[in-house]
Amino acid sequence: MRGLKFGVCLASWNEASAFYAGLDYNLIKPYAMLCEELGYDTLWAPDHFILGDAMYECWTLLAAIAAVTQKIRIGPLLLCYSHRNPSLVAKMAATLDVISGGRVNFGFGAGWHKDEHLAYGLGWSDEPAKRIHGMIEAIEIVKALWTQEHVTYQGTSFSTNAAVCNPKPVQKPHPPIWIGGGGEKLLLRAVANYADGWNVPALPADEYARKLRVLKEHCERNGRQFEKIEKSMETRIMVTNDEWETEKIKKWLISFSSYNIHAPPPTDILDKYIIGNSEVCCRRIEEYQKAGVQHFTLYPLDFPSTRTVKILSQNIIPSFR
Amino acid sequence: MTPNKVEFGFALPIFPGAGDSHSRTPLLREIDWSLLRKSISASEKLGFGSVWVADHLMLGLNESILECWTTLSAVAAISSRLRIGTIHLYNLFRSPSLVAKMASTLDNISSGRLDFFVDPGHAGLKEECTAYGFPWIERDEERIERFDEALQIIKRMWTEETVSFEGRYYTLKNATCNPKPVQKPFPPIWIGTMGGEGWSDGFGTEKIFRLIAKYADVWNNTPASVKWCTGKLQRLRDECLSAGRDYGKIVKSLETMIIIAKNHAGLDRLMKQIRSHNPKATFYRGETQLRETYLYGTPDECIERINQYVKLGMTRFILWFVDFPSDEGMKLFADHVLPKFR
Repeated sequence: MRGLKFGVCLASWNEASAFYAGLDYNLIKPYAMLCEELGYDTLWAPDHFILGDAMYECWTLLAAIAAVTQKIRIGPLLLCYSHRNPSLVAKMAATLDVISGGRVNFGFGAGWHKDEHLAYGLGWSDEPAKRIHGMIEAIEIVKALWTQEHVTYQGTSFSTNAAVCNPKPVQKPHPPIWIGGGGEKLLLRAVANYADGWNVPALPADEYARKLRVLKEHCERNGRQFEKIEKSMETRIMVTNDEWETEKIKKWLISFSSYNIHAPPPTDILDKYIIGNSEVCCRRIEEYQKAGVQHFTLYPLDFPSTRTVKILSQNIIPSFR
Repeated sequence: MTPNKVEFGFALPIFPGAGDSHSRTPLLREIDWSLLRKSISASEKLGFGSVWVADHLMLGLNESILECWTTLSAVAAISSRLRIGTIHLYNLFRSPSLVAKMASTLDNISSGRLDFFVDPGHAGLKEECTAYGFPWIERDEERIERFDEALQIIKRMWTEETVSFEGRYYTLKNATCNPKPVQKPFPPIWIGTMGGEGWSDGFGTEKIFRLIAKYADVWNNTPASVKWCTGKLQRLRDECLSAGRDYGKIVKSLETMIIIAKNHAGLDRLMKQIRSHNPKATFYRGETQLRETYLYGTPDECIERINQYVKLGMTRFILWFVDFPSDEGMKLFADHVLPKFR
């Protein structure tokens, strides 16, 4: 099996790395440029305002990184539908696609960070069904604005009235839409209906395979070709032989698993991610590939060190290409 | 900020205005990012102080315009000395808490180069607002009230650790915004007035002067004659008096068009070109109008015109070079006009 793709998530907040608690664009920028040079496929940044003690706004950072790179693809992981008006988002993404020469992966999601919404005065619903419905309306608007000349849309959450979004994105028919999340009833159905790519936070390989079976069923029920959807998984990674480093990572992961909804329980925490020497990392990647993962969105745990991204690209990735 | 130093900014032509669709970019027919990128680098190299990006959703020929913030962030990334600014960021399009976060991020990414130019929105935005599904706010007073709340929120988020706010329009609960902006206490706040070209005279409201006196580090007007600016400055002086604000501490700026050529034959050629791309002459009429409202002339004539504004106390100029996509105007300006104001 070949053709696996690898993306790197930028350390856009001060708790992305186990070994660095700062936040500095002057470290992120050269790191992003190095990832491009090393041949990574994609770069990502999460769309939140309050993670850790300091965080960069997603779109501002991505637009800057797009302007200093040439070929690597760029996307939010994921843009939360309730942070901005969706027609404005369509315009922002079309502009980024123009500026980047057609390199946008449009990651979009239904949101989970309630406190952040309340803090920033943004509308929030406790019902996932309502949020997913809002996300779907937003995607319909964005897609229409990217591909049609005048768009009039009347939804329950959002509307437009003869809206025009010019210039259009460079990518035709439009930038790939990635939807993220693991909810099996509603979210995966939305993926089947609307997404060109699907991403989910770290799962054990057998669990990932099971989600894919659910997605496939949704595809079959809704007349969508399952193969047309790029399957991705977001996880943390570190290539290391060192016991001290491994212990440090373990403690660090446990320390914030109490408030991070994406973090697994403390038992066997290292096994949930891709952590270990080259052989271990290779084996883990292979497990996921067998489970159906086609693309990894990776948080290197040792940022700003470049060791993991270098070893991965030089010693491990070539055998999966 | 050095108020008395005269500085010139380059307004980035992010929307085409040919076909009588907009006055700012009469020769531009389509957006070409590589060309814009070149003009950003040229601005930095030629000695302009800043680059400015407009905030509209539908504007100019085919309603074609790049999104403001995405573009501005790219400008920050590919420049190192230029200040970067919005003209103007409309309070109608984004929630103020998000704007505070975006602006502090951009101030960090640019190492403290952001000029934060904001606006409550005006009657001229009704079409794009309703098209994009933003609730349209008809009354000037309400737009101003919202803007006042937004500015309170943004300033507090830039300077305080945790912000809760119960306003009439906005509610925040324990909002944090870290990292803080690099510039202290925060990036300069620009607030402007509109009108002076005829078509834009009815946009905006005089009520904005209250907020300029209250919040602004810089006041700006859209393209306007010396006479128009004199009137606005008098109004600003009055407002400062009643608000107890030091008028001298507010920097005065003019956003305007520049029609510049080596000699009169060159100017005639440029005007002929503009007329052929804009056959209805909606914006560009007689030479008298051009000479009064914009910067029109040879380099020496432009220097003389700029000095008329400088005499009023205006020291910042945001320039739309109407000959864009040509770079002759900006080069001519850099060679012959910029040195006179160093």
